[in-house]
Amino acid sequence: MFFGDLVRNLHRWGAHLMVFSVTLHMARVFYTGSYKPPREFNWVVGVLLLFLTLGLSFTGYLLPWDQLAVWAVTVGTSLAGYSPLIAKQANFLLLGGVIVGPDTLLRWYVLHVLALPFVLVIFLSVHFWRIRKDGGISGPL
Amino acid sequence: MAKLKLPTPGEALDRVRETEVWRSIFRPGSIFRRGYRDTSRDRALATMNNVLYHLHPVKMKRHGLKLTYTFCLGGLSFFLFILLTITGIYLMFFYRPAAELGSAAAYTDMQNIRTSVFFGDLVRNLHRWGAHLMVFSVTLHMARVFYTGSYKPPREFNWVVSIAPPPSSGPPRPTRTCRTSGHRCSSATWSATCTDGAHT
Repeated sequence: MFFGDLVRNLHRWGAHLMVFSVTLHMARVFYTGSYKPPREFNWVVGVLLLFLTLGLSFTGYLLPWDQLAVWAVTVGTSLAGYSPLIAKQANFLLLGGVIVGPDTLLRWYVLHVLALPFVLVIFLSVHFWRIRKDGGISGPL
Repeated sequence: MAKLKLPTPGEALDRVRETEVWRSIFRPGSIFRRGYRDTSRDRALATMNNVLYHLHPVKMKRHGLKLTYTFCLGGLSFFLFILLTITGIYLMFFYRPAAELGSAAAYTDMQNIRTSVFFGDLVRNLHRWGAHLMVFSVTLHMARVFYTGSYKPPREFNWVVSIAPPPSSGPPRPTRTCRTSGHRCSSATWSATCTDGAHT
């Protein structure tokens, strides 16, 4: 594929780096106390964005469809099987069936390329918007 | 033991309205906030303190509010676009765009959506009818903009954006005026005709 390996690795390393930078960003905001009023709502939005980032990272994991991916996702989705009351339903919803199969791949592909980015863009808009509304960058320490 | 006094619905609502969560979501100017007054200031704040509303102007012309001026056609088109996005994502969960001979997964997936998928036929038809309606509403919207003369300056650029030129014609090239010769030329030709690089 033309530039295939380059673009794939840009995507792969970009994804790893984003989880890393989002974590560090969260730590920075905590240590500078920037989560305090009037920015407490934006902190909550930020936590949702962290979960969305992790969700994108996890759904992307399955897409190579190799042994590592299939078993990692088997373990990951088994966690949902221990949730109270809705264990079976949650597991079924995540897998699109009872085992990791073609339907799981399709499901996670759509989550990865459309559903989660769609939600992420909405919350990112609110996040950036709210920085301005809460008075820009937080004050000096 | 003291008798537990239940708050009246009004008191309960006030108590909820004073919470940090409520005040974080409903910003100053919101009608759901305590102390809201119908003033120009609160109306402007309502627009400016909402991520979606702030895309709208704070004030608008009175005739623009008349239903018979816009017929809400732009808003309807945008609503249909959002509807198509959400229903489209749902349908993608059950559709493989595969057309290999002998399997034709795409067609069987479509039939499966109509017969077996939870709410499949409903969502498919929302998507289908939404698509037809969007072509219709966009066309009517364009006609309305034309008949009210809303494509005229300063809105001519927005008219062009709404056309989305076909790929074969390519993106419009910027034209520049040569300061020395006065030639107007596209970016493809200006280096040849204005070698001194003097452009405005």
